[in-house]
Amino acid sequence: MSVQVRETLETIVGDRWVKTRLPELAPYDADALPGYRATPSLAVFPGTRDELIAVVRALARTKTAWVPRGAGTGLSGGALADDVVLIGLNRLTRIIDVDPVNRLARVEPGVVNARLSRETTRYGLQYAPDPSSQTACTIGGNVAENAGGPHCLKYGVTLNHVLECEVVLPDGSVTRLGGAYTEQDGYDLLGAFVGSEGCFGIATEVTVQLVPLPDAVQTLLADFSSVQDAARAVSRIIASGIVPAALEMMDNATIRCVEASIYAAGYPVDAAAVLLCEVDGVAEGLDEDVAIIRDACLATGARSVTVATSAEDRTRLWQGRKKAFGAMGRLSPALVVQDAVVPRTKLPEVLTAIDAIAAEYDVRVCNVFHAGDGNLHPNIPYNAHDAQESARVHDAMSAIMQACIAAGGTITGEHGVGLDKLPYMESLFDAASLDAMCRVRSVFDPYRRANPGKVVPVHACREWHGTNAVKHDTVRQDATTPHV
Amino acid sequence: MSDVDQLAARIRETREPLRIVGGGTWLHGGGPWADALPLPLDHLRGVVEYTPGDLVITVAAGTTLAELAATTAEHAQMFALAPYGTPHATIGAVVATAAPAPLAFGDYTVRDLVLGVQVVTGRGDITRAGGRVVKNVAGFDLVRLHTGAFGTLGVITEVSLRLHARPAVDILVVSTLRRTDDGALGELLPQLVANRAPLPMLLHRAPDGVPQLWGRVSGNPARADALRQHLRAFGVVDAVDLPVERVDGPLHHTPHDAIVFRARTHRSDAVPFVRAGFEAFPHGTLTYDPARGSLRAVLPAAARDSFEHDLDTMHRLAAVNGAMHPISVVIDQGRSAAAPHSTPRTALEVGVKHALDPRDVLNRLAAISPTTLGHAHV
Repeated sequence: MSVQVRETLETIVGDRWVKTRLPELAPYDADALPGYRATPSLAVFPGTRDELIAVVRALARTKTAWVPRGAGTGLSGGALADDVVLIGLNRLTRIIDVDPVNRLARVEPGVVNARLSRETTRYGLQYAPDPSSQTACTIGGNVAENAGGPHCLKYGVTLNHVLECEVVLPDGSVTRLGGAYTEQDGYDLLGAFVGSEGCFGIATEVTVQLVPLPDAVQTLLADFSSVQDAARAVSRIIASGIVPAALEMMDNATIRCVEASIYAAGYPVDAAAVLLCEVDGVAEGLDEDVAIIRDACLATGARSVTVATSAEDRTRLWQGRKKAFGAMGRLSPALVVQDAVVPRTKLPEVLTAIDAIAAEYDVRVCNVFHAGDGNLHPNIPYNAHDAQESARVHDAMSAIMQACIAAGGTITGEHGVGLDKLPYMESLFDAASLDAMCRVRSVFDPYRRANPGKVVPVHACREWHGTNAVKHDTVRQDATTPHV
Repeated sequence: MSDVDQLAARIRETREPLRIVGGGTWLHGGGPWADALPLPLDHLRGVVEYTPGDLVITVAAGTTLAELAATTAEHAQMFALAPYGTPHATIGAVVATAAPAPLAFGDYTVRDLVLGVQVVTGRGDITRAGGRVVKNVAGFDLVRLHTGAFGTLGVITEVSLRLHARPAVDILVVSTLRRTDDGALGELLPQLVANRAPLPMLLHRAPDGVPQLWGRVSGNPARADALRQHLRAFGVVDAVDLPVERVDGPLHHTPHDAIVFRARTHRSDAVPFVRAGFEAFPHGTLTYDPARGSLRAVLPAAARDSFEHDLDTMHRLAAVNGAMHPISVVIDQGRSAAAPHSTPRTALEVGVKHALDPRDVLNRLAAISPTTLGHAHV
């Protein structure tokens, strides 16, 4: 990184907020997915919207590539900056305003997800998308990844809740996309921006809709002696016409991890799988929904179905689910997490295939996932210092991904492509479809300076074939090949 | 050579602009389209893939809403909404126009329910975006770009949709305001705006008629009873149950020579604006969707200069009622009446158009003027 760029950035944000020494940069060399490491050339932390815009403009002037980063809780390697500038957004934490009458909130990108709901509860409102990392992850990161969460089954993902963004584009220009309570006219550029993984620009301000808190909530736990039975229960519940607020599954390996951790939720450790199902809304009729779900579980072989009787019970049941990834940390120092989505009817078949793959590659797979959406999270705890085990884990994950694609699924439901799923994009999309994505990316970022080398393999972009930029990026991608 | 391959070849080879023609219902209204050769899609019809247990269906874009409804009904499932227009509109047009739909189950919009598309771009490339699963963030979201792009980026040839299982009860409840004076509307509107219950509703008034409150009551019988009770609490009477299919009856009826405006307001600005709208257009059909804050006005356009006059009235209403927020007014083809120029308008829109249809061959738009205006069904 040139001295000139560093000094320019220091002038904008102050010396304290530009980090260049390796020990200072170390915290930013990974996100929440171990196995990928890359060190930024410099990290800059703007403290205001205007500073952020000035930083992007300065980088545009000097033709410097950059990667935006929120809390670094992403699970795709998407926030890694490999010898390029990292723009940290975690100082932009203002909730600009909450408008309870119009059920809107305007926030800066560094606002932590759970804080937004906490601040709006007093109005009887909540911000619905609830990624498992919601106590740490930021709204800006959620927008970049189009984050989901357990309650997205009923309430929808981030995209369904973001109404407007002010965006600084990679050339430094500022524009607004979408609008609260405005009739759409023209292309849905906000829809394209949400989930663009930092490749289209940085949201400097996000307007989200808030939804009324439900009048009543009921949470059930059903335990099964077979994963396939639990998967069949999922289909039966969905087919009943009820849209549960959440419908989550954990297999035995996950249950044991949770129960052995400080997040123990009282899940039966001898169950092959448990389903955690929540219904909410108008109080009347909720008991009837619970009865229908209970019957569906028992009819498909549940050993028992219990209903949480208090708010504390519910919190405990959910804590086990939301902290399951953390609980797996007890097993091994490293963990790979996948995020494939399969058609719901393929769940039993795919879960059987995952079992077989685990046995073939001698790895331990813990399944904890959004069953109602068919959104799988097979996790493999492993020792990253053991080269042989790492290679087996990598091969097992590839096999699982191919099995999900073959079942008509997709490679990521809510974590994003980042670096981790880049190799699978060509299994999912043909050349013309990837080229269309590249062309749209070029509209926002013609010089590929925003989060370079992520989401779509550069060699898939016809317009970029043979250019120096492609060669440069190809080298860069090789350098960040996962060492799982 | 498949139908889609032929279509792609036609687009690649054309030297003339093309106008996409699906069911023809959307274009009959004299929409603002420049002269172009027709590109018929009526042969692209039928189910491509449907596994009812997945609650996802993939159909060719020329499949009509009526055909979609019939197929899904066999499995007690449904596409959650019925856009304004006719059941003979094609699903391709519904997606291309992101058609507004009243009283949708779960208050879903078209954008919430489109999971994947196959699109032949203006470059003549056959592309796919999204997929057949209900959650998907693989790659950039071109599904959202094509949804509501009015066929200006590519020809939608196939669509994957999220379906819903029919709940035990799913009906429309139509009731009438207890009193017909202005005060009654004044009492009802604030309640509607503040509603927090999960209950899709619509305030509807036929020309010179009495306002009606429509609600979509769904769920198990106990919940349905509670929601009916909730509707009664708005002070309406004479509740009549209708099957949900009837949503495309009186609500959708739109004379061919009518102009349809839509205006959205913040909740905080809605009450005076909607009241003023009901007063200003006694001969129009007005519907107000409180969940979206959207007022739809179907106005007879027979009189000379009526478009300019009505547009001016809409803008005046937006301006004079003390609104704290901007009120956006569009005509029914999703084009801003405030900026009646060709789509795209912003640099990003120009870029997106150029990226996918660089020769501007698809659905080239004409400037909106009263002579090209008229209601267009989807």
